[in-house]
Parts: sequence; structure tokens; C-alpha cells
Amino acid sequence: MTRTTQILLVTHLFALTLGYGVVRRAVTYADAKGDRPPEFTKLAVRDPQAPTGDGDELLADFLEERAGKHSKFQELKATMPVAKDLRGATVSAVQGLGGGNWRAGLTEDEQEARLAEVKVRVWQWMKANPVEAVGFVLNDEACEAVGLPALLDQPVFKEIAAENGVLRSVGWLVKSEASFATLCELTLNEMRAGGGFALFEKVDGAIFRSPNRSEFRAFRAQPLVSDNPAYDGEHYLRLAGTAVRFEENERLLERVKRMRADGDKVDLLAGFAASGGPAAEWLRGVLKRRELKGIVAEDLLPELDRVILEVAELGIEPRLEILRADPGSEGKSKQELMNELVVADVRRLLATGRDWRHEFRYGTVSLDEVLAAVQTGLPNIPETGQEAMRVALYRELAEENPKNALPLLDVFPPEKRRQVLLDSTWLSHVNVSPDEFLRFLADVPDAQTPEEQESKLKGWNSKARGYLWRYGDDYVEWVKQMPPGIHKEAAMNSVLWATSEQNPAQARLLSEQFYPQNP
Amino acid sequence: MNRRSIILLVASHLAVIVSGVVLARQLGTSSAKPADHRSSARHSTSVNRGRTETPADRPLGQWRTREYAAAWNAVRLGTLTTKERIKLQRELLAKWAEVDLQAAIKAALGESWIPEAGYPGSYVDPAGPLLGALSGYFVGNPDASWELIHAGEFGMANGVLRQLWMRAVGEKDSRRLTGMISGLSWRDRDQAIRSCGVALMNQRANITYPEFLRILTAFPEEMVSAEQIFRYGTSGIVSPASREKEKDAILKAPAGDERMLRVNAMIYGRQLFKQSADEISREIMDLPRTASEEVLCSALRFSKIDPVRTTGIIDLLIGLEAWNKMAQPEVVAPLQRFSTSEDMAKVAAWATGLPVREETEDLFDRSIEPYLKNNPDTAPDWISQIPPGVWRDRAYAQFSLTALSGQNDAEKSQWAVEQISDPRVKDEAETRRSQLAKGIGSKQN
Repeated sequence: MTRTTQILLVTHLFALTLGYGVVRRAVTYADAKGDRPPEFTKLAVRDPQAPTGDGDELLADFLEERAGKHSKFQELKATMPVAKDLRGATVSAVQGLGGGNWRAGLTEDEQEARLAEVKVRVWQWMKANPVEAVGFVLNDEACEAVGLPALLDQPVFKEIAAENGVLRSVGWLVKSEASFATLCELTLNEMRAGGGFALFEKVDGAIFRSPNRSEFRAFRAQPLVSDNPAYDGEHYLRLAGTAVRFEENERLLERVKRMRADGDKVDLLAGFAASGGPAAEWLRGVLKRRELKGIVAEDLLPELDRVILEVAELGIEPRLEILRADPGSEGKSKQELMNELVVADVRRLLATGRDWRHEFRYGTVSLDEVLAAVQTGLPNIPETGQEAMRVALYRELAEENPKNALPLLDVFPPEKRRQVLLDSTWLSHVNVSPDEFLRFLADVPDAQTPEEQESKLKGWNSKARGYLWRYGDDYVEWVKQMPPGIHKEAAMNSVLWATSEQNPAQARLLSEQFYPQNP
Repeated sequence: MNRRSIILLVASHLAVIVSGVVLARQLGTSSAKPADHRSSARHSTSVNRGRTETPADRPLGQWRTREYAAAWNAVRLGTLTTKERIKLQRELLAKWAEVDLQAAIKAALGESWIPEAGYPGSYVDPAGPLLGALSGYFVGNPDASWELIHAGEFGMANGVLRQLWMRAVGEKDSRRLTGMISGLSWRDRDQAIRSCGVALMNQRANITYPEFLRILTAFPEEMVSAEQIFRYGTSGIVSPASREKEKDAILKAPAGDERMLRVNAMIYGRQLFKQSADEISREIMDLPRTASEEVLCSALRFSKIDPVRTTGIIDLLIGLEAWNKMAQPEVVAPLQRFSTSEDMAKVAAWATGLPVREETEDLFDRSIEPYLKNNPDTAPDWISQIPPGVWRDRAYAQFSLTALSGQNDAEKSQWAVEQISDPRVKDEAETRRSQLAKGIGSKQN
């Protein structure tokens, strides 16, 4: 190879690397932007309106795909002619699946495509005669072998039942456990859309005339598994209670009196009380007048008090009255009890409503906006509760973005601000990684007394179990790598006692690693 | 060099640069799976129209990782409830993992791990609300996902990912997980054993209890303890009908295998949950001492709420001088479960008769605590009737704490400390009282 050829080879290779490198750097950066954990220090300058490229559209596409709007089922539904022999076409489609082992070797998408024709055939049959179609699906051996009832619930049963209405559909929805969740969801949707408690009673009556009533009773005792996040993980009767209009309160009470299971009565009443201030106030009156005596077991009544306590709309004073009656409140001042209520209200507002924490984490909303939302959402906090509200809000938001949450404490005198920060080391930052906790500690003022020092270090103890539970050995290794100093000492000691709870022998070994003896 | 050569040289270099660009772009999308011609109607229709392909034209499994990243980032601009946001992010993660597991994990780790419900009382998953969405991928791709996690790419979070992987894979393929036990650290080993035990309990494991028991007992005691074998490896083996068989197993246990002796004793003790202390006393008469202690502890762990039975069994342990068992949770915890005033008073009175030893101090404190909490007004009088000595001093010390935590009565708390005679107990009580007072003061703000 001549020298010229060698030079040409090198320069061409360089050119290739240049072209490749420029694009890969750009791609990697674009990818990394989405992957990198947030850097708190940069959030203050983040523009919440900054475009995320085509992220919005992609997210919309994703949601459509996940909702099955462009699924093979939807495509076929729009194009496949309705068979003259609905039953025959369904039988043929089910046979076409190939028996009980039909999923073998197929991806999720491929399974969905194979199933599309069956779904459309059943859907067409159900449009004409849902009772007959469902009867076939539930009783045919071939359908059972391929596990059809559960596969049809979404979207076939749900679409047909939503179109026809739950009252016209309850008869066939209750025939299979596979469609119980759909039955519950549609009932709740229609109650909320105006059907109210009357609709619930009609549906409930139909269910309890069916042979599957015991199965349904067992089903509703468990939390719902639903695509609708508002329903998912909640109990059907609680949700039903929440969907009852206030003016139906007496009818609800009458119904409760006729119910058998104490748990069901409590669920319905608790759900109703949670629907708002007037309902909670009404239930409070019912409890005060002891109208539930002999109707709900005495030991379950505190659960109703607990639910009423959670309805901030009721105001502070009525809830203080309930809280005072609790044995755990003995000796506590009015201010202390009010603070407890306010702290719980703030935490609940942030946990159950709009995702203010997440939006604040990324600077999508400002601190002022979150504060205004809390003040609007909790209008009944008196002047004497404002301090507790601010501290509670700070401790919530500081877990997401400690620097941006700090101005919440600016209204306090320096000593109070200092105390809140020191105590936040163990009363806050529960749900953050040790790295983030360590960064937060750097911003906490230096301790000036032994008590303050103790308070500042207390967080390591309060978090040790949680960190070991989550990170296991990797937390221990992280502690070993901490820079020397009091925080490392505190972290090591907390790891030792938390480990000794689980495995004293391993704790002794760890102690030798942390504190090696001189030879 | 002539002009033509220069032009050729420039052109060839430019061509190579362009080739580099094309290559890089292709590699940038290589993590996406090959097109599945059957899976998307939209794909075929868009190609037919002859327009430029967009992500929306491809099935989700063929999106590029940067497209998932952009969609992920767009979530934070939406106005959603916490539950809606978490549901959406979990769905994104599950699909993203199929394309680029590493990027999906990093995205999830970048979020806060506050539990979904977010307030006290709600279930807390140590993995947080998002990472669980990857479980399906772990189960479907156990080797690749374990390799990625094991490579240590995720810093401290490798710990939670290993835990999640073991929970997910253990549920579907317990056999695979049991094969990994020997190579794990003690914490991870415990997680692996627990995951298999839970899968067995839920009847989802692909191994049986006898198989699992054989696997566990093949490990030496320093790797798998009697407690682990008992808790996770024996639940499905015994039935109440086999009580005599279990007792026989204890008596015929091979000499030297103390671990299995203890496991058999725990199994046997579990079946005595209905027996009174007297009946249990007769049952253990012919057993070796180690086995008797385990039978008693196990009988306590599964005890019904009955003060006479509970204190009677602890008395049997004291009779065996099993002092090392006195602070164990299965001994102490049942003493705090009583809900009626009468039961609390019975247990407190019993505690004043405990032998005075360092090992029984915690047992004494825990036994009288419910009574003191429940009877703040009469408790001082009750304490004064305990004969002077360690138990009376400790009762005052305990009362100083319950007066503060239960009633927030600092004055009464201080008074109780002042009644203590022994300076050592007094110092300790004062320290605990002042620590509790600080904690209460801070919590209120």
C-alpha cells in the first residue's frame, strides 16, 4: 500500500466517522433528554411552555393506539358485512381460532388480530340480539376452550352495553363474572350522568334476582380493576355512594337499613359522605342522633367518622368536634388538632386531585399557582391554620423540587423557618432517593445546638428501613461511598440498627466493615 | 494534483460523510423490531397513500426510543390527576420497555416514587408506582433484563430493580429463581426465597412445596435459616390432620440437623394454635428443649387473642429458661393485641410477676403499656401498688411515656419520672421522655 493510499484511507475513514458522529451525538442527546433524571437546580429557568418536539402528538397517538381506536377489531367492524347467519358466522370464526392453544407463539398484536373477526362476529350478533349472543358465548364449549367471555368484555360487551344502557343490559352482563367490572363501571357512569340512586337500585335489584348474586356480592367486596383511573382500585359501593345526589339521602338511608352486610352499609354511607360537605354534614347528624344504632355494627361506626374527617368542605369546627371525641386526641390543644386536620387536608388534596406535585416537579406550574390551588381547594382553613398549611405544602413540594418550594417559608420569622427546615429532614423527604436527600441536607442551615444537630441527623434513622427495603445492598454500598463526616456516621449507624432488626449476624459483619478494628 | 483529482477527492469525502450520516440514522432506529405486516392496518394504508411514514403509522412496538421519550416528556405538560398520570406513564413504560428497556427504566427512575394514593395508610410498594409496569417485560425476557440490571447501569436503583425482577419472575418461573439463590447476597437471597414462597402460596409457582423444601434444605444454615424454610417453604405441606406425624418427625430428626429439628418444631407448634397452655405443656413434655422452645414460639405466633393462653405459654418458655426468646416479636407482639380493658389489666398484673432479668425488661414494658395507655387516671395508683424495685421503677418510666404520647400531659410525665428510685432507670426514662417530647413538639408544626 502506497503512502498516498494510506492517507486517502485515513481521511475517508475520518469523513465517515465525522458524518456518523455528528448524527449519533444529536440522536443520543435527544434520547438522553428524556432519560436523564431531573436536575433540580435547572428547573427554575425551565420554560413550561417549551415545546417537547412532537411529544404532544405522539402522546395523543399513543393514547389512541392503547384505546384500540385503530385496532383490527375497529377496522373490521367498519368494513365486514353483517352475516345473514349471525350464529353460523360466529361459530365459524371461533373454530377458525384453532382451539384452546390458539395463542401459542403469537405476539400480543398477533393475538389481537386473530381475535378481531370473532369479536366482530359476536358484536354483530349482539347488535341484533345480545341475550342470545351472550348465551352462546357463555355456554358453547368451543368458546369456553378459547377463553372467549373474558376476551370479549373489552370492547365488545362494553360497547354494546354502553349503547343500549345498563338497565337493558344488566340481564346479560350479570351472567358472567367476566363482565361484572363492566356492569359496575357502566352503572357508575350512568348514575353520575343523572341516573342517580334510583338507577343503582334498579340495577342492584336485577343483579340480586339473578342466579349469580353470590358471585357478584363477592366481586364487589374487592376493589375494582378498571381502565378508568377514577374507579380503579376503589370499591364499587363506595363509588356508588359518591355518585348519589344529595337530595337522595333519605332514600339511601332506607336502602342501607334493608341491606344485610355491615361492610356494604358502611361502604355506601362512606362513599356518600365523601361526596361533599352537605352529605358529610348530613351523615354527621345521623351519627349524632344515633340513627344507625342497630343498623350498623358499633365497631364499624368510627370508620364513618374517619371519612367525615376527610371532607375538608365540612369546615374545621365540625371536624374538630369529631376529632376531640377520639381517644387519641386526649390532652391535645385545639391548635394541635387543627394542625393535624390541615396537614391531612393538604396531603389529601395533592394526592387525590390534580397532579400538582408532578407539575411542580417539572416547573409546569409555579409555586404561586400551587399555593393558589390549595387555598382555593381548602377555603375553610382559618387564619390560625395557615402556618400549618404552608409547612405541610412545603414538605410535600420539597420532595419534588426543594429549591423551588423554599419561598413558601419566606413568610416565617427566621427562627421558625430554621426549625421547619431542620425538622423537614425527618418529617419530609420520605419518598426521595438518598442522593436527593443528601442534596437537600446541604441546603439545611448548620445546626447551632446539640438538639438541632440531633434533629438534622434524625432523617437518616427515619429513612434507613425504607432505603434498605427499596435499595437493599446497593444502599449499603452507597453509604460506604459517602464523603466522610457526620452524615456518613449517622447513615452508617442507621444502616447497622436497621440491618440488626433483620439479621443480627449480618449487622455484626457490616459493623466490622464500617468500623474496621486496628490490628 | 490536477483539478479533476481534487474534485474527485472532495466528492468522495462528501459521499463518505453522507454514508456516515445514513448509517448513523439507521443504527439510531435499529432497536425497533422489524415491521410486522399483520399487526397494523394503519401501517398498510399509509404506505399505500405514499406519504412519509410517521410514528403514528407504526405499531407501538416499532416506535423509536426518542419517540417514546418525547411522548414521556409531554406527559408533564398535561393536566391530569395523579392516578391518571401514573396509569398513562405505566402504559408508556410497558411498551417502551419492548423497544428500549434501559431508556424506559431510566425514565421511570427520574420520577418521584411517592405512592399512588400518597397518604398514610395507602399501600406502599418499595418499587414506587411506576417500575412495576416493567414486570411483564422482565417475565417475557428474563435473561436479557437480568443481564441489564446485573450490569449495574442504574446505580443504587439496581437494588430495587433486582427486587422487582425477582418478584415478577418468581411469580411466573419460580424454578428459574431457585436456580439463582446460591449466587445472591443474603438480602437478595431472602427476596428470592420470599418471592418463590409468595408464588407458591398464591398457587402460581411452577414448583411444588416439597421441591422447594428440598432446594432450601440443600443450602447450609448460614445461607438459608430455619425461619426462612418454615415461613416460605412449608405452608402448603402440612394439614391439621398430620400433627402426630410432625411430632414424630421432631422425635426422629437426624442428630446434628438442628435446623430441621427447629423447622419441624415450628410446623408442629403452628398446629397447636387452638390448644391451651396446659395442653401444650403436655404435648412438649417428651421433646428436646430446642424443639420445645420453637413449638411454644410458633404456638404463640399463631395464637388467638386470649390473655390466659398467651401468658401461660410465655410462662412455659420462662420455665424452660428460654431467655433469648423473650424479646422475639412472636413473644412480645401478642401481648399488645388485647383490646378490652379487662384483658389489658390481666396482662399488666401478670407482668409484675415476671422474673427480674435484663432479657424480660422489654417484655414487661410491652405488657403494661396498653393498660397504662388505657387507664391514665388510675394507672398511678396501680403502679404504686407494685412492690418497690425494678418493675415499679420501669412502670413509672413507661407511664411517663404514655402520659406524653397518649395524653400529651408533660406535667404528669415529669411527675412519673420523679417517682423512679433507681438512678439508672431514672436517667434512661428522662432521656426517652425528653426525646419523645421533642418529637411531639416538632410533629405539631
